[in-house]
Amino acid sequence: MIRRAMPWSFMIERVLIGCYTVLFAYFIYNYMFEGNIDEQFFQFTNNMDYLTFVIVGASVYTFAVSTLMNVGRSLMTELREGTLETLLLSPGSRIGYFLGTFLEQFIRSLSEFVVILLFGWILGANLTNINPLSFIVVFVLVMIGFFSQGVFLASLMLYVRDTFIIQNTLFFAMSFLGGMTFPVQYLPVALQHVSYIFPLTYALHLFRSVVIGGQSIILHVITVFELLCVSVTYVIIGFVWLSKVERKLIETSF
Amino acid sequence: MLIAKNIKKIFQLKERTGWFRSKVVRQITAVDDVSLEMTPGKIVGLLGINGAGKTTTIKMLAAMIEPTAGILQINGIDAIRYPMEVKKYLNVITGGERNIYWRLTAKENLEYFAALYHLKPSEINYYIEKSLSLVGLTEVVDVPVERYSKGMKQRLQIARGLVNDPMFLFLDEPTLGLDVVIAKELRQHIYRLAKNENKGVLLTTHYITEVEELCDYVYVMDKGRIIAQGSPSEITRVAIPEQRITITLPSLSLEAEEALKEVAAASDVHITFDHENSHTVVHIKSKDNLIMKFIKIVTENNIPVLNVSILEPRLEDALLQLATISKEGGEVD
Repeated sequence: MIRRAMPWSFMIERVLIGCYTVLFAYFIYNYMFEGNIDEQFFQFTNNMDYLTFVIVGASVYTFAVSTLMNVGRSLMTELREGTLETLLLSPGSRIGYFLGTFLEQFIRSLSEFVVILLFGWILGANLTNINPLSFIVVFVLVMIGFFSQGVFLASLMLYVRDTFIIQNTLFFAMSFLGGMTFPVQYLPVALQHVSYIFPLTYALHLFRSVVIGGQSIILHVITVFELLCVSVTYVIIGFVWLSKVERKLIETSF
Repeated sequence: MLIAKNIKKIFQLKERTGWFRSKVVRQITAVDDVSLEMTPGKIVGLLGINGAGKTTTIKMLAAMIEPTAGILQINGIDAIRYPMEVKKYLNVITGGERNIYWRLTAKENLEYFAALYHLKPSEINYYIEKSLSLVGLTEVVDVPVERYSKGMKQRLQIARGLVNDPMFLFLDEPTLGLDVVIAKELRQHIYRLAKNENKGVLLTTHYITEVEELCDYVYVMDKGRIIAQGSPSEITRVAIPEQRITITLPSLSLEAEEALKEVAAASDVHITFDHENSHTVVHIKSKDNLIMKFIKIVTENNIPVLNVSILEPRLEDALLQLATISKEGGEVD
């Protein structure tokens, strides 16, 4: 079944894009900037080196995209495959469906994350301070964030009956505003506020500060709280909207 | 038992007036005051021309959409209030090749669909085996569906519809696009489901022979309303009450013709005569069985009868008749 039904091409594509991002940053940093970086960057990142910053950014971003692609596109894929009606007909819970989708893809998304991190480590990322316990705690929080955004995305995609434009716009906005390759503090203030609608922004902050930087999560309890608030908002809006979209879809489509 | 009483569905057509605003511009009554019943072991037909409201009715009966008004009870449970509760008793099988995952095998498909109904692993295995055996797919259980023929996919659809051991099955054009052999085979499966497995089946189809062959009871819909109901023969009798008789004679004298016309006029019978070169055909349309009366007149006039045929009205003709009456705004008794 793995060979028949797994979206291998998507996985390979995401890993390659992640690696290319890392490689691009490596060349820019070493050959264009010649290892020199703005003093402000160190202030914003608590003295993190640029390569590690980008590598963590690319890995977590890839994990986010992978989760969003799998959870967010799930209902649209069902609609295109012609299997959504059967799902809506059954008494299966929607939260159960999304959790199942999330768990099914979790190992794949995690693998993509690890591959990019390892690639970055080969290129010189400093990953020596990773605390396994911090890693697990932050990773769980991050998963909640991306899962919630995925539920919202699923409703949005089903509402507009599109995946391509939405996902590409969203992923571009996330990569640009979420702090993947540069700290959000470099953005204009208005865009900094916008960046906080993405769980990715909180995820990257926690990863860099707590998992890589070795800081206690207690110091970032506000970020954790904000991430959970954003997640709950996404889930609530996602499910309320989904019930309306489903109703409309059944009445008009099948 | 499934009981629908006076169910109604009104759709509101909205027009966007802004990003998140819309106003109702029109209301469409898709189903209007429909009452019907389904009993385990019986096959009920739901007929009507396109746009009659059949699919909306099925969606309501299958607890997929909420009726605007009316009562829907399934096994005594209020299906409008507890749709998730009643869904375990129901399933829908549609025609075509969708609703199954082509990259998965039959077994993988059914395992997934069974899990959606919260069945226990032991139940899942039991019902998968049972449903696949019923539709004759046990030999290809581990073959990906994309390699199946159209008929096999359709049989898998039936197995999917049985995976939760539903009490009531809704079959929406199940033989659509199938060749005659496979369609016949599927009809046999449907018959067995009702009679051997005691499922209550509701069938919509455009193939009237299927209805005549399978259905115990039929509801005919038009413009969202039920315009006739009964067994296929009852519906035929109601829609086309006259018997159509043709009597072929070598010739017909003027006296005999007049005598026949007199009887016809007295009994509200429509009679016409076709005078051919070698014979005469008498066409009679009559609500009452007056054939012996006409034969008697003919024989009294010493005319031999070459042939007598009684044309039984068909359900298809009855439905056409009902559609015409409904189109003209008339009432069906």
